Amino acid sequence: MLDSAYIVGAAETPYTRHPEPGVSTSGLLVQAAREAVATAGLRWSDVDGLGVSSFTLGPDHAVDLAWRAGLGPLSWLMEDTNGGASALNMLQHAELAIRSGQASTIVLVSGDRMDAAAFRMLVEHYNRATEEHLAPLPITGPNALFALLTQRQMTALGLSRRDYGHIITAQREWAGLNPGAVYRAPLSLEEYLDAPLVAPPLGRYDCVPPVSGADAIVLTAGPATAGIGGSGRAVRVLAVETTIGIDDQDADGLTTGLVQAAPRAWERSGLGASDMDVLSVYDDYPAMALAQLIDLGAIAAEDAQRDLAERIGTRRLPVNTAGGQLSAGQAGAAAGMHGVVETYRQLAGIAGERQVADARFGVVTGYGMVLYRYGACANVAVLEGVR
Amino acid sequence: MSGPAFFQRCTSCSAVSFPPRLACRACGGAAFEQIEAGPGVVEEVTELPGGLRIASVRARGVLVVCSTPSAVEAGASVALVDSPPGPGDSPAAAAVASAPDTAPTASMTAQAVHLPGSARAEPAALFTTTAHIENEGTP
Ligand SMILES: [Zn+2]
Repeated sequence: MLDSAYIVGAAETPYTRHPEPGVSTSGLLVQAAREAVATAGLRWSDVDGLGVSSFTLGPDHAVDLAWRAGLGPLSWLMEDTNGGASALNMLQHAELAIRSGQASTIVLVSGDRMDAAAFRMLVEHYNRATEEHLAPLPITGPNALFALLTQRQMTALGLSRRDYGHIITAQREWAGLNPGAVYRAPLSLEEYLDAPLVAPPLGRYDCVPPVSGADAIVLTAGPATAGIGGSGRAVRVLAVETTIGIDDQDADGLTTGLVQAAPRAWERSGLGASDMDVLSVYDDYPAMALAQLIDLGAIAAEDAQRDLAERIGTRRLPVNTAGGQLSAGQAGAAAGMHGVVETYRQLAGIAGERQVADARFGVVTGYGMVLYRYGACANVAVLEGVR
Repeated sequence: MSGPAFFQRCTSCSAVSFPPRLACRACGGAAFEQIEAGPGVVEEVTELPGGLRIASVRARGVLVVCSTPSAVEAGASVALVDSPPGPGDSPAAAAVASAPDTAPTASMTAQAVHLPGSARAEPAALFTTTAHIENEGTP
C-alpha cells in the first residue's frame, strides 16, 4: 500500500447560466476530464480509472460515458449520486484505489447541463420524501427548508441578516478575481440587504445561481509522474473522511456530519483547522457554510458574529476563494468538485489573481443530499501542495 | 374536509417517525402502527413568493414541514391535517386573518396546517412474496 495519492491536474469548464442548445451533460463531463488530463501532462490513454457524478447523465451511466469518451480498458469505475457530497465520496474511494494499485491514473468528473427544465425536474423529484411530502406543499427546491434552518441558526448564534452578508460580499470579491465565475461585479452589504426576499430571512443573494458546467481532477500515485505540465508540482491527499446520517433528520440541522468526520481528518493528517491556508466549504446557503466552518473548528460558535465580520468579511480567512457556488455558480453535481478544483489550484500555485500567498495546506468539505429537512451527508478532505 | 395527519410509531420501542421509515433507527424493528399526529406547535415560518407560508411544526417530538393558508407565528398551536385545509377546516383562520395582531391561542380552535403524505393508509407489509417471478435477466 502506497503512502499517498496525488492530485496532479484539474479543470473546470466555463460555467453558463443559460446553456446553448448543443451543450450536453456528457459533452461537458468529457470536456472537463480531457482538460484535467492535459493539465497533468498525461495522455487520455493513460487513464485507467473513472469516477462520475451527475444528476442528468441518464439514461447513460459511468460505463456509457467511458465508452463514448474513448476510454479503456479501465481497472476502476464508479458512479456517485450523492450530490454535494459526491466529489469527496469519490475521492475517498479513488485515493485508496491509487494507493492499493487498483488503478494508476484516475479521473474524477462531475457536472450537469442544468437548464430550467432540468433544475425543476431535479428539485421536484429529488427523492421519495420530496415527491411525497414536500413537492405537494407545494414547494419546489430547498429555499424554504433552509430559510427555516437559517432562522434556527440566527436564534442559536444571535445573528442577523447583516452578519451573513459578510460571507456573500467576501465571496463576491473573490469571484471578481476568478474569470470563470458567473457573478463577478462587486456587491455591497447594503445591496445584499436590499435585495428581494426569496424566503425570509433568505434574500436573492443567499441562494445559488444554477449553472451548466463540469469540474474534473486527475489522481496518480506520485507527483514525479506528471504534475502541472510535467513540473512535478502536485497536491497530496492527506485525509478524506465522510459521515453519512449523523442524525435521523430529527435534529435542528445546524450540526453537520463534519462534527464527526473533521476530527478524524485532523488526526489522520496531523493538522488542525488553524494550519489551513485556504478553506473551501460547501456553500449552498450561507448558514451551511457557517455551520461547516464551525464543525471544522475554523470558527468558534460563540465568536461567529465577530469572525464573520473580522475574518470572513475582510477575507483574512481565505474561504471559497473562487467565489463559491454563491458567486461562481452551482453546476449541479459539480458543486462539490468546484471546491476541490479551486483548492488544488491554490495549493499548486496556479490560482492567478486570487492566489493566496504561500498556500501549502487546504481543506475542502462536501455537504448535501437533503433527505427531508436538511443534508444527510458531509465529508472533508485535507490536502497539501508539494513539489 | 381534511382528515387528521398520521405519524408512524414503532410497535417495539414506540419511537415516532415522519416521514414513515422501513425500519426503526432506534431499535431496528420493522413493525409499525399509525398514530394521529395530534396538535403541533409552530417553530419557524417563512413565506415564498406568491404568499405560500411554510412552517416547521413540532408534534409528538417530531419536526415536520407544513404549509399554512394564513398567517401563523412561532409558538402557535396548530392542527395537522392530511390535505390542503378548506374553509371548514380552520374556524380560527378567518378570525386570525381579519385580526393579524391576534395570535392563535390554545383556547381557540387551532388553525389547520397541511402535512402532505400523512393520510391514514392501510399498513403495507414490509416484505411481500411473489408466487413466481420469471427470470428474464438484465441486459
Ligand atoms: Zn423501534
